[in-house]
Parts: sequence; C-alpha cells; structure tokens
Amino acid sequence: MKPSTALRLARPGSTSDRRRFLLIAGSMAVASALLLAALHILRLPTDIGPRLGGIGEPLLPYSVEGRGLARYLTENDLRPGVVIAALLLTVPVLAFTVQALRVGSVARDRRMASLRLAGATPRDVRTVAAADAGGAALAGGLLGGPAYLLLWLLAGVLPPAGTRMLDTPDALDLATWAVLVPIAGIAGALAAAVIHGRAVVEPLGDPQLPQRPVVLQRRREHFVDEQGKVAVRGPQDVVGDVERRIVDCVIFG
Amino acid sequence: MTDHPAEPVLEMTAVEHAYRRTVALNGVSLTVEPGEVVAVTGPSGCGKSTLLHAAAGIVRPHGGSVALLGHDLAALDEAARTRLRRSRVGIVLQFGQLVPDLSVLENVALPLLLDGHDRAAAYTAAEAWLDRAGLDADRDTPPAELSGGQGQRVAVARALVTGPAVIFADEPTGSMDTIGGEHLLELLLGAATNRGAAVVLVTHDNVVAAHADREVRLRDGRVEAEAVLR
Repeated sequence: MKPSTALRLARPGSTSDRRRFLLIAGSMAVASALLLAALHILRLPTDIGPRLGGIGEPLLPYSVEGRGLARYLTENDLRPGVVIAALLLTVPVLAFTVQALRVGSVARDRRMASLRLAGATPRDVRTVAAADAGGAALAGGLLGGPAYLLLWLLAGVLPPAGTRMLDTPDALDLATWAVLVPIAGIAGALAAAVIHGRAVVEPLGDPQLPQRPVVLQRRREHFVDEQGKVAVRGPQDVVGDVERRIVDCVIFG
Repeated sequence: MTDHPAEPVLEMTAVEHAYRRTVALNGVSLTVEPGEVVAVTGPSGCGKSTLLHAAAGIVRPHGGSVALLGHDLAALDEAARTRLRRSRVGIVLQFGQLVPDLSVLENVALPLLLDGHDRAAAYTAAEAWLDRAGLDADRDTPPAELSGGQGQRVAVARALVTGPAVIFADEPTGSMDTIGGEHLLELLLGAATNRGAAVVLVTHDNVVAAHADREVRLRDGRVEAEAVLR
C-alpha cells in the first residue's frame, strides 16, 4: 500500500471519526502546552536575586521582583515540585488521549473489516490506524503552541504580579515546540499501532478466537468430568472405583 | 503466475471446522476446476458459508487441507493469504461490505490501491467496471446512498476489478428482488465466464443454483449430494 493510499484511508470520514480526531488533537494540544510550561519553568533562574533587608532575611529572587512570578517558581527546593506537578497534569490528559483513540471503535472495526475484506493486510490496517491517530496527534502538537500562549495569558498575564506561574515565552519555547510537534505525531501513531496490533480485525468483522478441535474439546470435557467426580465424591471414592475394577478383573476376568 | 492454471483452482480435502461445540464442516472435500461455476446449496446452518470462508482463506479450518490456486492455505500466514485474496480472488458477500466513507469509485478501486497500483490506473480500471455494472453515474456516491442491488453490483465490480482467477460469492442475491438478482448474476457469471474465472456460489435459492455447472449439496457439515447441471 502506498503512503498516499494510507493517508486517504486514514482521513476522518464519519462523525465518530471526526469526533475522535478532535478529541485526540485537543488533548494532545493541552498535554503539549503543559509540557512546554513545565520545561519553561525548569529553565527559570533561581536564587540569584539581591538580598533584601538585613542579615538573616531570605533571598528574594530577582525574577519574582522583576517579572511578577510566584516565589515558589524560583526557589531551588520548591521549583522541582512545581515542574513535577505540571508533568503530572499531563498524565490524565495523555490517558484521555489513549481513551480518545478508542472512540467509535465499533464503527471503526466494521470499517477496518471492510478494508480487510477488500484486501488490506493486518499490517495495512495498523498503518491506516497509525496514520489516522498520528495525524490527529500531529495536529494536537501543532495546536500545542497556541494552547501554550493561551496558558501563558491565563497563568502568566492575568494573575496579579507576584502570583504569576509563567514567564513570557521566548525563542527556546519555540524551539521546544518545534521538537514536540513530530514527537506528538509519532507517539500518537505508535499508540494506535499498539492498540490495533493487539486486536487484529478479521475480514468478517469478528475476532477469530482460536477454537479447540472437537476431539480436544471432548478430551477436555472428559477430564473436567473426572475432576468433577473427584470433587463431588472425594478422591477416596474414585480411587475405590479403580481398585474395585482391578479386583473385578482379577477375580472375574 | 497465470490467470487460468491447469490445476484445480480449489482443492479442499476432508475439511473440518467447529464453532465452539457446533460442528460446521465435518470432513468436506471439494474440487473446483478453472472456469467452473459451482453452486454450494443446502439448508440454513449446514456449513455453506463456513465452507466458502475456509476456501477463501478467511477462516482457518481446524482439520483437513485447502489448496487455493496451488497454495496450501495452512502454510501461508494471514498477510500472505490476504495478498493472495486481493490479487487473484474476488469475494462478494450478501450485504456488499463496502467501506462506508469511500465513494463507489474508491471502493471498486480499493483492491488495486491496496495492492500498490498507481491511483490513475486503479481509477481507470474501476471506472470501466462501474460502466459495465451500469453504475457510472454513481461513481462519487457514498455506499449509504445506494440501493441494496446497486451496492451488490458495486461489490461485484470490486470483486472483478483485479481480474481474479476465482470468485467466491456468498448469497450475492440474498438481499435482492428476483429481477435485480438475475441482473447481478448475469454481470457476475458473464464477466467470470469471459475471463475463464471459476465461481463458487453459495446459495439456498434453487433458481440461483441453476446457473451453475455443478451443484454440491451440504447437510450437517457434510456433502450430501453432487450433481452436474450442464
């Protein structure tokens, strides 16, 4: 299958496809914005401001004074906590993205079954699913930049001075964003490929569960039946049966 | 590879298959020669569809062997079986099973596109088959806007577009009226006969079965009777 065919087949066609695309793109945008914020906070200078007041007074970072940022962002001991909190916020967002990958799965499985019947191999189906999710995640990564600007407006401009969470975006934010966009796309594509790799859609639409041959099934039923006898009558009774049969054979032939 | 191999296009030997405790096929053997039209008939639940799915490599039988176009299907993995199907086998099921968000033209061209053909060439071939199926005016229509009969004709065009050596059709006229069904069979069997392709036709309808060269009647997962019709 040519890449152009994969991209055509990955294009959202139904309402549920479009909903899935929007959910994946939206959640990836939020995750990217949070990640950009965490990385920006990580780059802030710490504890380099002038000492205010007399001896014994705590250090007041100049960034707090000059840029109106919250004090805990620039204190050596507190900043890692803030960064980890921002990263932790991405976890439920990414979990939501994984759930969004499953939106409309019944209709999509039916569509994939039609593709399989038309001649798509399991690998083709995984490629289409990866292109579908990868495209949405890539769009989410691209939207991550504007989402970060929005986050900056909400957390870095609107709050009063001294309580702001984000500093003015800089060139390094732009570079980080440029790196994040393809990573988001690849992550989305890989997640979809893994999810679809586990459940290969059959041409008839239903998973072909491995069936036990009839002979094996009967042997298993016989075994279960014998186990049932042991459970119901107790092992002594069953052994007694065998002993009785041996005695019968010896005595009566 | 040739389109019309001298050896049988399909050789099924003592094929067995079960769904949990229900035995669908119980030692079925069937041979189909190139260009032959075989109707598989029998009452509901006798294993007709399972036979067709096993023959096309869609279902892996639990016992026996299936050789399709000289390939032992048990020796092929899923991807290889799929590639064999899309390049040399046509499949028509009762409800078309078209891809809902693709246009009629894209649906017909799909096997060629999946096989790596050039888009322009695939579309040209698809347009030719749509023309033969009388659907050239509906090329951009989504399948949801087609009638049942039109959908089946699209499915037949899709099955024929790759120039298959064998076509498997499972109740292709099952959802159609008598006249529509006749037209569909004319299209399917006419194209197959012109190409020398074999057709395995699963049906419970004696009128449809009468179009075949040979009838194989199943009952309870076994071949009950065989009859040469022409």
